[in-house]
Amino acid sequence: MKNLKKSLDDIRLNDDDKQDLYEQLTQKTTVKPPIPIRNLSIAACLLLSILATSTFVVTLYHPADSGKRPSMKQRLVLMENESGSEAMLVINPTESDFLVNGSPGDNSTYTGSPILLRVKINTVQDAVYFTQNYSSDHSGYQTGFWNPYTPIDISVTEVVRGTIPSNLNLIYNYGGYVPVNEYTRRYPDEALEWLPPEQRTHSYVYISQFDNLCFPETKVRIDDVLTPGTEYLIALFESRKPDGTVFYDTAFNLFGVFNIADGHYINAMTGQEVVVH
Amino acid sequence: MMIADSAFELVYNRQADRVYRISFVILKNREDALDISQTVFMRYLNNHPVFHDDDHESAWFIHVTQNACKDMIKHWWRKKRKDTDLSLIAQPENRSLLEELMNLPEKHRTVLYYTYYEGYTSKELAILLNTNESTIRSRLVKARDGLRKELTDEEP
Repeated sequence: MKNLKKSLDDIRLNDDDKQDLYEQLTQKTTVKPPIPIRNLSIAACLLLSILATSTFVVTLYHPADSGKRPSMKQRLVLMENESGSEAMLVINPTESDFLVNGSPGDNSTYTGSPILLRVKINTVQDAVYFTQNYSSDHSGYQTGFWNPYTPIDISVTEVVRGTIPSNLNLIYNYGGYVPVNEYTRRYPDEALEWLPPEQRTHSYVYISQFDNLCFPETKVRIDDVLTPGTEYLIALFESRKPDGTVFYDTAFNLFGVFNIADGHYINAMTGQEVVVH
Repeated sequence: MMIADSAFELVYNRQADRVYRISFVILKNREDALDISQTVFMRYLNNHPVFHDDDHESAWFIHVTQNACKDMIKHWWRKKRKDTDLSLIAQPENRSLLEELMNLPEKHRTVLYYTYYEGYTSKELAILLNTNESTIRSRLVKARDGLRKELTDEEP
């Protein structure tokens, strides 16, 4: 059994991992305090109880149009409902080879870094969600290693109008809602330097790769239940190892507007996945 | 109340390997063990527990690590995880024994670890794992037998 102890001694954090973990932990002690999820949930329930479920309409936009409604043939992704809430894919202007991985007609998987979603939430019952569905053949495989999830880094920034909401709330859902605010921290400004100048000054939160993993068929919900009408830019970054190398490409193949009132997702309601036209 | 960086560094240096090692023994996966390590130290930073002595501190970290691992095991998606290749972390002379240890059921692995690595007695372990002392002893006997059998079978 002496040998057993010796063998177990081999299981230890290597110096790099140890240092990286320490740095992450000490950085995280400076984050703002978590927003009480329970209070938000109660408020959301009260508000949602008086709001009717919206009918969703799915249309698609080309991201390069930067918000202008494009012609039919350019349409890629836009989801909106009758209240005007919408989620739109936005291209990274600095990377021409960004992003759509899939043939026309396929259920699309979007890869690259960052992936940008421009989201407008018009009513209190809507929230954006994005997720992965590994029943498809899309991302999640890495040579020699089955990766059942893709770590994603998420940044949310208010980009168009309204004040920075104090109740911006990210909820990471895997078999239950888990508040992730306690792990959030500010993302370095230079990380969003490719944003247009007028969009660089807004606040955002960041969830590191180790805290927030987009598991198969799970959802990350971004709620802003008290300040309807604001628009956000949501950036999903490829995750990186502590040494800075790419861990996994960000990838997801479903996103849209989530209706809190009835708990349905746009895809579930329409039976339609995001499709490249 | 915030924990000073220097105080945290001391605790971190004392406990980081322990937390990682327990997580690895339970979960058999490096990335999961890293995740658990982060979770455990986040809990420490958020809860800033006060310890009476080093043993108390170690017991707290072991207990929290054990619970965090249990939480992770519960999730269905974990079933798709692949065990980390031990050849990447173990010295050649230790690899065989470590592999046989990892082949044992989780309850047997952990009881061997706590007994022979951490030096807990059956009584202490029963309190730590919130189970009966006789259960611990029984697991220990089975774990030893299992390990012995695995090692014997392996020899030509």
